[in-house]
Amino acid sequence: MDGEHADIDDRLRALLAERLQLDAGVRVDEGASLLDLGLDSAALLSVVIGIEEAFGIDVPDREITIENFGSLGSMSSYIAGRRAS
Amino acid sequence: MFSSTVDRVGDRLALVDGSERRTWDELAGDARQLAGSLQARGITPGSGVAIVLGNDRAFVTTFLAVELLGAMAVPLNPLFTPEELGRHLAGCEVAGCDVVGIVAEPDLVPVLRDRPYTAPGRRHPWVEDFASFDNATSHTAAFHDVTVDPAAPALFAFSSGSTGTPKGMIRTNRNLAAEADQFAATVDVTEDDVILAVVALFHAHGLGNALLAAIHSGAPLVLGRFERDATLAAIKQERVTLFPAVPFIFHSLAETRRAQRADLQTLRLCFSAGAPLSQATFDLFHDRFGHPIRQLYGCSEAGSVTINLDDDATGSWDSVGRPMSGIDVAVIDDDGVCHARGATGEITFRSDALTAGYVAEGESANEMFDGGWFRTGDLGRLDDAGNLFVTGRTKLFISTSGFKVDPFEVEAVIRAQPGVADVVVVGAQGDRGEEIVKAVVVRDDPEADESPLRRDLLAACKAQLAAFKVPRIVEFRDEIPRSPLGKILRKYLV
Repeated sequence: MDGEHADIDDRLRALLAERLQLDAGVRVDEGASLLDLGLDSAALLSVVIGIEEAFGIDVPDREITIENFGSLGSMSSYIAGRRAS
Repeated sequence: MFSSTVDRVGDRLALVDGSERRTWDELAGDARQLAGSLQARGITPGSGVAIVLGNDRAFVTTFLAVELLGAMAVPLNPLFTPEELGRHLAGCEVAGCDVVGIVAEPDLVPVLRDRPYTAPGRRHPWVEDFASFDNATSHTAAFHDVTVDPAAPALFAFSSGSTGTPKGMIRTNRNLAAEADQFAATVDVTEDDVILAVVALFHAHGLGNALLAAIHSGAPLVLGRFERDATLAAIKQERVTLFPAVPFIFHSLAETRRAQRADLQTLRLCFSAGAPLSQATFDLFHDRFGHPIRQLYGCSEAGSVTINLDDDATGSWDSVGRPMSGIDVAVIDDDGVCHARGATGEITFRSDALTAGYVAEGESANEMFDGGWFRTGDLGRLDDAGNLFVTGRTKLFISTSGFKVDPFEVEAVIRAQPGVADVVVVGAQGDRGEEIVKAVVVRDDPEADESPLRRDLLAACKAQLAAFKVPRIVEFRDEIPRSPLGKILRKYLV
């Protein structure tokens, strides 16, 4: 993993822990489904708003999908893609 | 209600659903056409028609067609699992609501057709999506007008209280007309308003404060599901004036970076129901858009009960306001005696919009309906000006030693003590099966010695609370178990 992805992942882990109120001991694996951590549509929007704030990007609502935000890995790729564009 | 609106403002805009628009005349035509098809499918006065649809033209047209037929609308959440839908439909049957047909989202049609939720020997209701009726070539059945009895059932709904299992209830045409009258008279809704409906129409908040409000007043209804971009654009483009929503929606809009550039100046009233509004959400939305969020208090049993329209919106943000026109609200003690202003008790009210009671429930469930007054199970107080404040739910009360203990009161005392990071007070079972007060405490420093802290906490409680309120058990934990959305999971604490 390159440095940018690692940085994004670390910040996303902190953000998920805060927004999903995860136990301190929970480490979110890159490929794990966030649905299993209780991510419903309301929680997903809360996470996306946090991502917009933290990474300075705007996520159009039509792009808030499980494909883009269903796991830490997909979120990280999406953010890197948005930043590159 | 609908026909008088059509007569009055028939040529004006009635609804916007994406690119589709209808005037009241056109909507009436659609509803009559659908009513004819439903008649041909066996819907008669008193029949139940389940409406399992989202916030779209299909929902509104189907609801109106069912009302024209003098039948009973049964709105159900299209996001329910098949099991939940089956359970609710079975609940209708138990309550004597004969669901003859179901109009559902297309993806739910095969699921519902396959479900044998009716009792053996009963006819399975037909299941169709709206498009199968809306296809003009399929319409051959003319609608034969029905005389609708105001006292006849119009809606079969389920109570959506936060505790217990859902209870079914019937609301009559007269109940729904009264609810619309009360809201329109209180909020002064006219055909010049524009109502945004992103809260679910199958729920009491959306049904009463968006759909019924529009049908009654002739104000156009802008339909959609909540998405930030679409919602902000709709408010601007359609010049929305009334915005009913829930705290989550208001918070999400206010928190979104690009919403800072949004133009919401056409709004005249933003009101929140369904969950308590936090000061953080109120402040954020007010700072960002300049609109105060007003709290509305209501329930599935009667629709809206109070709304905050106080002149000092900022100073009174935490009040749910005063009773709607024609509604009486009182705060009572356990014996049903009215409390003095300022004292906390159970919120009770009477309203012409109130259901007659829960169907197929025992006497204990219907004890809440007390001589025309409905005991809500919510705790609150009235201030000197008659503004209502909701402070909790009686169902969370702990019954101990013949007294009731408000857990929030005990928590407040403990939370104020040094060394306490968090606390939740619950009713636990004592060794003789009785309920006892238990405090679950999270320390600031997880390594801190428990004994002296426990002693200090109990001393503070004894000094500030009646003896029966002092916790019998103080348990230390590293954290309070919460759902991913932050709701305290009390069942894991007892």
